[in-house]
This record gives sequence, C-alpha cells and structure tokens, in this order.
Amino acid sequence: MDSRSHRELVDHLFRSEYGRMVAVLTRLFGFEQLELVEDVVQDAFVHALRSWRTGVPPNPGGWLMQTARNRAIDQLRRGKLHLKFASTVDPGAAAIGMADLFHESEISDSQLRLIFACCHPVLDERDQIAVTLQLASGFGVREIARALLTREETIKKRLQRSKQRIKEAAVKLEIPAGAQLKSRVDSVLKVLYLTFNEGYLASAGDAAIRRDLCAEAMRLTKLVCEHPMSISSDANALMALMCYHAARFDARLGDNNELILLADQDRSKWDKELVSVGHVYLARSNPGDNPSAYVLEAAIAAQHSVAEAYGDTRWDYLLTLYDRLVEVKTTAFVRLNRLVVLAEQRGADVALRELASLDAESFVGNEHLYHSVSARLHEMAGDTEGQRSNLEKALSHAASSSERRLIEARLLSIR
Amino acid sequence: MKDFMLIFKGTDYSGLGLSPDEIQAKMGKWFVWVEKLQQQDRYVSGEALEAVGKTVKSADTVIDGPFAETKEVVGGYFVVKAEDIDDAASLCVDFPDFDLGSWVEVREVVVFEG
Repeated sequence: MDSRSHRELVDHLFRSEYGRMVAVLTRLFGFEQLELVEDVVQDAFVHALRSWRTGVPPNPGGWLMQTARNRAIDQLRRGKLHLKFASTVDPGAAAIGMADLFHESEISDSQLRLIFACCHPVLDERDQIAVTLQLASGFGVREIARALLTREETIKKRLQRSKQRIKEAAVKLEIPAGAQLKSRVDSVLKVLYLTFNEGYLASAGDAAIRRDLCAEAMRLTKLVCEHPMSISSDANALMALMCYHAARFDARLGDNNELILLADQDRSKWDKELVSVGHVYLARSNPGDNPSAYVLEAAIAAQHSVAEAYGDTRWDYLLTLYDRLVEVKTTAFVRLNRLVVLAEQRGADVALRELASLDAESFVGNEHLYHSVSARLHEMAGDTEGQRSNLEKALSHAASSSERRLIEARLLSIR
Repeated sequence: MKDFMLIFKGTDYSGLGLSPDEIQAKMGKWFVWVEKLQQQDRYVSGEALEAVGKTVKSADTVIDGPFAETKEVVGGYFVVKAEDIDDAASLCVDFPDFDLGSWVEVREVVVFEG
C-alpha cells in the first residue's frame, strides 16, 4: 500500500461515525448520560487525530467505535458512567447484550431510535432539527449555524436548551409503539423534509454545507425507509421527492452560482440515476386513493423529471396534482407554484386573476418569490411593463446574491 | 544532513469544541505535512503522546500531571533531517495546529562522537 492510499479517509467519515457512535453508546448507557457519551466520542476522535498522523488503521470506522467503546468501559470502571440495569434498563439492549449492539443491523436500529428521540414532541421543530443535526448527523455548532443561516450563539443556546428538556422529560431512546408511532414518524419526516429544504431551497450561504445538509437528510430518510417500524408510504414518497430534487442540484446553479430556473436548466445535467432511484421509491409509496402531500409533491417532481424538455412538460397532469396538493397542503407557496402550472395549462390571464386573490402578506420574508411569479405571469400575458415592475419589486426583496443575479439577468433580457 | 527534533507544544485538542468534520479536516492537514516531509526525505520518525501523565520529581515523589488543560502540554514529536537549525525551522511552516494556539520547538539532536 503506498503512503497516499494509506492516509485517505472517506469524506465526512468522522461526521457519519459520530452519529453511529452516539447512537450505540446512548443505547447502552441511556439517553440521560448523553453528555458523557458525547465526551467519550469526542475523546475517541481526538485520540485518532493524535495517533493517525503517520498512518490510518485499515478500518478507521471500526477503530473509532472500538476506541469509544473502550473509553466508555474505562469511564464505567471509574464510576463516571453507569450501565443501565434492573428497572431502568433498556430491555432491548439488555436482551441482546453489549457485543451485539455493535453489529451493523443493531447500529441502524440504534440510529433510528436516536432520530426518533431527537424528534420528541417536548422539542419544537427548530430544536428538533438542530438536535438531530448534532446527535444523529455529527454536525458541529459552527456547521449547523452555517447550514441554517443562524448565529452560532443561537444554535448553541438552542442545543443546550433542547438537551435540558430531553433530560427533564426523561426522553427514552425508543421507537414509540401504538398510536404514538404515527405521529412520531410524522415529526421525523417533517424534520427531514425541512432539513432537506434548508439545504436545497435557500440559495444564500455556503454551497458545500448546503449540499451536505441535503445528503444527510437523504441518509437519515433512507434509514427510516429501511426499518420495518418506520417504513410508510410517506417515508418512501419523501425519499423519492429528495431524489428528484437532488438530481437537479448541479443543473440549477450556473457558473457564477446564479440560480437557473427549471425552464432554463440544461436537462442533460440532471442525474438520471438519482431520478430512477426516485421512481423506485415513488412506486413503493403505493398511496391508494388519498395521496398525502409528500406523495403529491413527489409525483409533481417526477413529472418534471421525466419531461425531456420544458416544452414537453405535461401541464395537464401537473395541474391535477397541484389541485389535489392545494387541498391537503394549503400554504401560500403551494398556491403560488400552482399558478405557474395553471398559466401554462389555461393561460396567463386565468392565473393572474387568481393571483389577485392571493394575499401578498402571506409571503413576508419571501416577497421576492411572489413578485417573481407575478413577473413571470405578466411576461406570459405579454405585459412587459407589468413584468418589469414586478421584477424590480422582486429585486428589492431578494435576500441572496444568487437570487439577485437571476432577477437582474431577467431584467436585462427585457430592456 | 543532521537530525532535529520538532516538539509539538500547546493545547490539547479536547475542550476546543471541534466538530467531527473539523477534526477530520485537521487530520487531513497533518497527512499533507507528513507526506511532504516524507517525499523530501526529511521525515525520520515521530510519536504522539497522551495529554495526561505523571511527573516524577524524585525517587519518592511522583505526582499527577501534566494535565490536558495545561496550555503547554507536549503533544508529540517528529525527528526530521535538515541542513541546520534554520532549515529545520523552515520545515515547520506547514505545522497544522498554529491556528489552535500550538507551536513547535525545534532542537538539534546531539550526536556523541566516539
């Protein structure tokens, strides 16, 4: 083995190992000893940093897990950590024994328990996202702050507060049973959906960390899809949705990091393999007569993915899907996006009349989207003046430089 | 060429709030440095040291310490080949931990004639 290959590490190996290690060790020692578990895991990384300088062990992930495990046993001996016994024991962990917890299938199970615990209803959505990113995904405070475009101090406080709540409420590392299961799966999917969107939709900030955020959301969603307790139509549909969007990740940014609209994207740049994976998950979602928002959104993304060119888009199918989506998810955004489809199918005048009934105030913070769609509808109606004035309004509200560049380019094209 | 010892001093990595990704990135920088030294045929050997230990003051006085919290803990060392002390010091420009407040002490290894 030459020295180079001897030192190569898989990208983000430590980050993904962190989630696995925390999951296994908290299952062993209990969620209430989370703080000590985090210390032990951190310690294993620091140990690796010092001792791998001149060579990486053949199985770095295994080495890290083994080291964390040894350090945890060491802490046990010193009385700083306590194994859970008797009434407080995690029956699962006791029954299968310590060694078994380190088997691959049990590691997945432990990771899933950790995600479910992070999405416990004692935490609000934003806290759930931050805690999941830290514990299950191994993001640090600085990375979470960069990914969520939030100040480090805010994230730090949010994490501290969340862990305090988890402790006070004695949140268990388990996949809840019975009636609680459905609502908890819903929370988990919502958190993963929002995490993906944070990475995908927001165009400001560091592109690399946003891509990581999407990749993490997909990795965790895949875990959810692979477990018999959590697999559901919605989970499969969400995975499909993420695949379709991720397939367009590169095509929607230009050379200067400017956003490229769906209509103008070079479709040969779409990742066809990811699109086909999306089809597999969408087929598995098998929704029946009452498709959920996830299923409908995935089906909409699928329609765009199969159109060879923008002109080939089946607007009739899309409008049917959007009409149903509006019924189950009546947000201002869904209604706004539907108008673009409506305009393509029935003409811009129809869409403009409906736009007038939308409350511009529901777009606070995202006014640029409202005005951009409005500009597009005016353009389709042949009203250049309306298009220009709306683009100017959109420009004044655009938050990121890539959005501004997109709007400026459109303004230039009509001058 | 003579042998020089590069002694790494400063803070231990723990307690800095480094994320897994940051630790991995830091490790990548160590790999790059070691590889560069090896390609130039400068690298001889090296070891890393645990941050905690014992201090023996006399035959019957053994105390705990240094501790990881100490700001001048020795984290490890490399032995490298260099023309002279300035040349050896110049090999340290790629030392990866300056940003964490650590530094390198460069000392020539004494050769006993005989």
